[in-house]
Parts: sequence; C-alpha cells; structure tokens
Amino acid sequence: MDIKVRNLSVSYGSKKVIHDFDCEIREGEILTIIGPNGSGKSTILKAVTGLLPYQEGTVELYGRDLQDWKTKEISQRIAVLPQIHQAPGDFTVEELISYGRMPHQSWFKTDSKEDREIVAWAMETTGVKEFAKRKIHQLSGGELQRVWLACTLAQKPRILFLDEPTTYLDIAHQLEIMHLVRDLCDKEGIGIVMVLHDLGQALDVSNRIIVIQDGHKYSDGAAEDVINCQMLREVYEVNCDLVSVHSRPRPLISYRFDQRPGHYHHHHHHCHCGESRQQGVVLENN
Amino acid sequence: MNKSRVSLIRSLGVQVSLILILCLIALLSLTVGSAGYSLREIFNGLMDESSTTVRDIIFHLRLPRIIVAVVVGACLATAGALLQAVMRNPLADPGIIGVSAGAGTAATTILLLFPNAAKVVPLAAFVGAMLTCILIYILAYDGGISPLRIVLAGVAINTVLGGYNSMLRLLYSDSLSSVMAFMNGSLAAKSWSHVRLILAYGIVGLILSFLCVRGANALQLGDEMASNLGFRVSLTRILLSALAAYLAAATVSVVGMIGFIGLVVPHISRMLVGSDYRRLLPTSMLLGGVVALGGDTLGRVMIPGLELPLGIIMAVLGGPFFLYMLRRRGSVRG
Repeated sequence: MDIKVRNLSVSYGSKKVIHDFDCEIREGEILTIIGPNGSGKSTILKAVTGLLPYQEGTVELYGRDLQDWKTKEISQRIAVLPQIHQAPGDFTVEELISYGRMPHQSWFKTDSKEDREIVAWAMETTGVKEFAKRKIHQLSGGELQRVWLACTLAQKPRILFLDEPTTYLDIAHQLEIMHLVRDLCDKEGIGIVMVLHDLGQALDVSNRIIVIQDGHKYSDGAAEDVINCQMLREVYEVNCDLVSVHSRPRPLISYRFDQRPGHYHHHHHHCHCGESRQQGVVLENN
Repeated sequence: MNKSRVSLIRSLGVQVSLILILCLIALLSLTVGSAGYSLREIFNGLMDESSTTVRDIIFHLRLPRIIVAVVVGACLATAGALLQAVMRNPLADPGIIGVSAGAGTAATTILLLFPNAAKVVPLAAFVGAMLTCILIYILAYDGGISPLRIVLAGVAINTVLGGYNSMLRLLYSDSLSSVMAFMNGSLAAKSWSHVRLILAYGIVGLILSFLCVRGANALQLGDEMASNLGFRVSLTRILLSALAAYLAAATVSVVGMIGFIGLVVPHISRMLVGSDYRRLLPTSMLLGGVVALGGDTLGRVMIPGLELPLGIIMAVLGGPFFLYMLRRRGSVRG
C-alpha cells in the first residue's frame, strides 16, 4: 500500500474534527472523498499530506511514518493542489509551472535540462502549452486551474491530492479537469485523491469513494457500491433515484424535489441496486 | 528563444542600466555641493598632493557619503523586498515589523534621558529595533506565523511605542534637535568609519539575502502551496523576517530613520523585472542604491545653503508615490 492511514484523529484546539479515520491510498487509482460541507474532507486531505498536524494515529507513506520524512522528500513524491492558491499576476504560465520543480532543486542546482523537459511535459499534458508565455492575470478560471494542475504535475508526484479542483469552474471546464485527472491516472499511473462536491462526477470518474459524515468515515468502497439512495438519505438528507441510462456504464443520480428532506426515517426502503440495467430504468428509489 | 531567457536578458539589461545610472549619479554627486568642482578639477585635485582642500572635500566628505547612501539604499530595499514575500503583500515595509519604532524608542530614550551616552545610540537603536521585532513575532505567534497577525501585533506595538516617544518629546521639548536629526535620517557628515560600519553589517546581510530567494519565491505562492513544495512555511517566514529586520536595523543605527525606500523600491523593481526573487532581489538592491544616492544628492542641492535630510526627501517624494500605487492597485494586481 502506498499510503496507509490508521486511527487518524485531528483536532482544532479542543474540538475534534476527524475521528479514528482509516484508509489506504494507491497509485494508479482515483479515490474521491465526498461528504457534506464541514464534514472534514479537506482536513483529512491536509492531515494525510502533512500540511496539518494530527493528534492521534499514524500516516505511513511508502512504508515509512510521515513524521520521519523530510518535508522536501515528501514533496518529491506527493503533490497537493490546495483549494485556494495565489501568485503574483506578473508570473508567466511557464514561470509558475517551473516552481513545481522546487522540491527537486536546491540553491546551487536550478533549472536543469531535465527540469525544463518536465515543465514542457506538464504543459503538454494539461494543454496549456499554447499560452505558456502569457501572464497568469490574463487567464480565465479554467485556464488558470489547468496551469496550477501543471504546477503540481511538475513535481512529478506519484500521488496527487486535489482539493475541490472544479469549484468555481463552468461545466465544460469541470469536465475538462475530470478528463485530465482520469488520463493522469490511466496513462501516467499517478494515484489521485480528490475532494469533490458533485456526486455525479465522483461516481463517473472515481475507482473508489470514501464518504465522510461529521468527521467519521461513513463508507469506503467501489464507486458504484458507495453511491446509493440510502447513503444520500443518511449523509446528505436528500432523496434521489439512481437511473440507468443506455450506453453509460454507471447510473445517474436524479435528485427529488417533491419530497422534503429530513423525513427519511419514516420509510425505510430496500435497495435494488444493480438488479437490472435497462435504459431509463429506475434502479433504486424511495 | 524561450521565455525564461527573454526575461533573463531583460532583467540583466535593467540591472546594467541601473549600474550605469548609479555611476553617473555618483560622479554628479562628487561634483555638486556648496563648493562645485568639475570632474577635471576633481581629477587634478586628487592627483596633485598639494591641493588639500579638494582632496579633503572629495575624499573625506563626499566619497564616504556616496558609499553610505548606496549601501543604505540597497539594504533598505532588500529588507522591504523580503518583507513583501513574508507578508505576501507588495505594500509591506520594515516599519510594519517595528524596526523604525524600536530604533526610534531606543534612540529617543538615550538622547533625551541620558544625553551623555549619545555615543551608544547606534548600538542601542540596533538592539531596540531587533527586540521590538522579536516582541512583535512572539505576540503574533499562534502555532504558526500568519501575515495578518504580524500586521495586527505590529500596529499595536508601533502605537504604544509611538505614544511613548511622543510623551518623551513633550517632556523634553527643549532638547529635541538631536532626536530630530535621528528621526529624519541624514547622511550628512558620514565619514569612513561609518562606511566601514555599514559595509561590515550591510554586506553580510545582502549576501545572506541571496540565500532567501527560493523561500521568498515559494511564500509568494501561498502557505499551502509553499508547504506542498517542501518548505516549512513558518520557519521560512521567521528567517526572512529576521534578515529583513537585521538589514533595516543596521541602516537605522548608522544613518537614522529613512522611510519609503523599503516600500517603494521593491515595488518599482517588480514592475521592471517581475516578481521572481532571482531577478527582483538584485534589481531592488541596485535601484535602492540609485534612489538613496539620487535623493541625497537632490537634498544637497535643492535649496542652496541648506541640506535637506534624506529621510525628509524620501518622505516627501515617497508619500505621493505610495498613494499613486494604492490607486493603481485597484486595476493591476501585485
């Protein structure tokens, strides 16, 4: 296992926000963490990557405790794209991406031929090469997000953590990022761990999903198994149907507006998940 | 040709131009003053052992003053540039971390309460500046160091010390001339001993600042990104601040308080060569030297028969520029 998290607890002051969290993270797999606002998704991401101290439990990175790694060594293996990032607007795209090489450089050793090749690869992969010379304050939100993704790719991580990478983007750019992430996983074998809000996208793109509720792990498993009506009722207090559509490997989540949320406990239905998948067949409902 | 090479050539061009401008102002500064000499007269005077007046004025008055001005300007600009990375704000300057208030408090206290000990003012100003800076960082510390907490702690401490200084000046209003000279940092009567002092302090700090380039660049990308890139954010922030405080305190102890160079010069440099500290830092140093020397030369000739201290020149010219920057910031970021 590439990253192994055991009994992780994180507190802000005296308030415990993550309780006894376990998980395993592998290269070549997309793991998505979902959960309501304030459930602790981003906190888990930060604790596991060493950006935030944790009070109990262990995080093992490639068989060695995270605390025993030098910060620079960690950043040569894992990269994190934070939710909020900023840079002076006068940086060019290429310049900003080249900062991703910093973990592999030192004061005496800057910008080698290898560094430039990796930056070129990162730009190629994310499709930002054509505006490499532009200043970043001239970019649109979607372009800028791809540039930051390229910056983390320039770190040449084995595992890449993305905190809500599609927030503030329109749907076309959201899908663009999702495709990019899928390709990075399939073609480069990079492990992806991301926090997403859109459950439909999480279901479509992920290999595995972890659901967080109030700082506890609610479920962890294959995407199709984790996303079901019962989970949405219990974790999000939302009623929905899962609808199978011809030519799509995974069902659609169709939310219900005709039933008020919060009353799910009056009628427990059993799931019929995966029994039949024909076009337009409701697989599961309330 | 790739972009990084273009910007490298551009920044080298800017730096070479600044060096040439610096040399020109230095030559000009040698010739002007209460006694004007042409370059030929200066050259002949220096060659001719017998003409002691020219020799004295040029070699013992004007030349050391020029060197002090250039080093002071470079130190203040470097301190400002480093703090702008620490605060992640292009409007930060050494005043924020209490360097001016601390040095001012120490100097005022000694000059007014213990006038016989005026000799230790430079050392006391240096110590006062560093102690105030340390106090602000201790107050701002909260498991880490955030720019906002530094600014808040800085404002509080600056206000308290400012009040104390005003009180002292009110109580001893009859013996203020020495305090005023310190507060309006002046390069008048700087001798070779000052040159040795500022070179000894300044050069060490300026060289160390080049070791901060990577950290400063990383901090500009935000705390989480810097941390992701393998930097210990709070440690980097503290080291950069300490060096900035040291550089600013060194200048304050030798020439008194000079504002606005630390604020304005890094900002102009950013417009000239961009925000990457590999280019920004050397450009700021050179431009700092140009601005300080230019300002001092201007102060010497602006009003015949009267020398305006550099501190006043910088405040008078720097204030309007600061307002101009604030107005611009609405449309252009960073």
